[in-house]
Amino acid sequence: MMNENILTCRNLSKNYAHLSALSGINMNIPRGRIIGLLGPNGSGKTTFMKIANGLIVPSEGELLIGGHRPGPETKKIVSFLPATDYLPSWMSVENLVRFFSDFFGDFNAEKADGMLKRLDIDTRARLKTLSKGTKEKVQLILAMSREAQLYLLDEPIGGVDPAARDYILNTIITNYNEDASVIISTHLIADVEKVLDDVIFIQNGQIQLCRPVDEIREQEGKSVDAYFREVFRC
Amino acid sequence: MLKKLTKYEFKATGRTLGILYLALIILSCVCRLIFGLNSFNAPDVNFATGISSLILIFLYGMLICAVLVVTFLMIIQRFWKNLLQNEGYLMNMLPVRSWQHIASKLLVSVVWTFASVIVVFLSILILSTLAMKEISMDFFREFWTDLMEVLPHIGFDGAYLIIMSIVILLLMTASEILQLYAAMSVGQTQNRYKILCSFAAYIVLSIIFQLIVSLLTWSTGTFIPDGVLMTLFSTSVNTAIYAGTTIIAVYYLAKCAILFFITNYCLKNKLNLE
Amino acid sequence: MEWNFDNQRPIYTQLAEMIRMCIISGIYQPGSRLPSVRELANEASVNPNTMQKALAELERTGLIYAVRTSGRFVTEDEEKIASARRSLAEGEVEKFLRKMKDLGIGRDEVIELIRRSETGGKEETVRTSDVSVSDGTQETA
Repeated sequence: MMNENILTCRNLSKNYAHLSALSGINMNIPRGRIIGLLGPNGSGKTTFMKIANGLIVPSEGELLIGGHRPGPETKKIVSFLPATDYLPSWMSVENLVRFFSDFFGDFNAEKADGMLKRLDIDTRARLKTLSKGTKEKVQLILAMSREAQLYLLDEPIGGVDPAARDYILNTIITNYNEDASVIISTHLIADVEKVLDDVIFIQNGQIQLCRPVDEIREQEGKSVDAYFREVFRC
Repeated sequence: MLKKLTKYEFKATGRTLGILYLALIILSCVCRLIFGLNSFNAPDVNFATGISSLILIFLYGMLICAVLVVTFLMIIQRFWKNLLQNEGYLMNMLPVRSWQHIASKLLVSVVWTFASVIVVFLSILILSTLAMKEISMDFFREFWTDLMEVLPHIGFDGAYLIIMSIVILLLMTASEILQLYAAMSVGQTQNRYKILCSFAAYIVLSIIFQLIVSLLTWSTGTFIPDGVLMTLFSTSVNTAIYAGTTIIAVYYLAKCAILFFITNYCLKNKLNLE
Repeated sequence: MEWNFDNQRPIYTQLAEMIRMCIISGIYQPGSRLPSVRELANEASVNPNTMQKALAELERTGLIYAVRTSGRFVTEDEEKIASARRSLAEGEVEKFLRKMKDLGIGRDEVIELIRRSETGGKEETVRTSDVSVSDGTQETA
């Protein structure tokens, strides 16, 4: 049970009227890996994340998490960090912590409180009074305080300063366990490179390559960031 | 999970409506006091008090409208914004089933609809005590004793009628709210013009149910011989009432079920959060 | 300790080198217990899997060894550490000499320069390469 792939895509496609956001994705994500989903803007990263969380339905093919299509069963084991501002702004940080512990059996409120305290975030503040960077930190803390089996982080470091970036990446690597996997979608490759096991390059809704980071460095003699620039040269 | 969802739904909506309710009750009390002091028809009404009473009445009217409009908008907005817009990311990542989302929102909406209507009536009641002189608590005490006197005499038929009326009222309210939900759920499946499509879906649903109603009345008139109906209704008024209320209740129950199913199907299988 | 990585080589090899350096320089004493994979990974801000790989690499060379339940320890074999130090020094000297050759400085001149910097030069410029250079000269001379 624990050895099977946590996430599987079979011919996963999503078409809109005039374009296909994903076309025929096949992949397996094993447990215990941190994977970078890298690609230019509009390459299909967010579409993939949304399908995996049941926010949109695929046009063709399927995506399975722990053997199930996205639904209440998968949502119990998936911790999702959307790229957008998605938390109700009228709620305070402590409201949200309670909300998460109410609905997610795997939510560790102590862990969340610890991280909030360390970052000096006022838990009584309503979300609408917080700065964009602080809000993103709160969102990440909530997502990483779950002891989930799969973390889907859509652009977790997009809007924060470099110091916060390091904190966020550290939070990610310290909070996941060996049976869990993390998928981080981003276009800021240089920043995440050292925390990744594998990278998946995605472009125009198709997987360009899927390799371990060490292998790229060993065989190409360059960083993933440099290699990415080479593969996606305009 | 349903309980938790409902709890948070009340939390999210309670503040705004609570403030409005409070404001309305306070304003009606204020009106009652002011108009009670210098009675309306008194000949010594001067311009200043006239204007201020006018403003007060206008404000009062506005507040009643606000309570009703806000209740209505809240019903739509809580569903649209909380499930189908950005906040939908949060709600749809919760390990709950879509029917639980709908049920919690429906429950809360029905409660607020009734609460709003009751509060508006209450405020009118407070104001209307103006018309009667020196009523205060006596009025209510009398009302209560009268009610207590009547109750034992209404019998089974009366009780049935009262309960059925309440049930039908509930089902009607629920079906209206569910029609809004169903329209939004259908509208959001489109990639563009989601709001426009929701409006269109609402209109189509209205037409469909109107057709069903006309079809039902037409078929009763056509397929059941007049004689049967006549004998049915002539046997006793009660039978007619039983038959009538049951048919209406069943119709609204079916309407609720159909709309709930449409909404649930769309949220479960066709969610489309762009 | 600073954990900076260059972009050309795999991160786990660089991590292995850094930990080896800690062992050679005595930050991690012979026979002492190493921090856990998780602690090390957090400190270096890298993926625990990568750190695991680096430690496995060091295990292979015998500089550290794993005890099933209690973690990883630095080898007690001082000779092993000394030989690691020597081979690291050799590498550094080789690099240094190659650079001097590129600069067009001959072997005698190099030795002369080293002597002068030992007596009169600014300490900080040569401090770190002190050991390796004197080691290297003995062998190349």
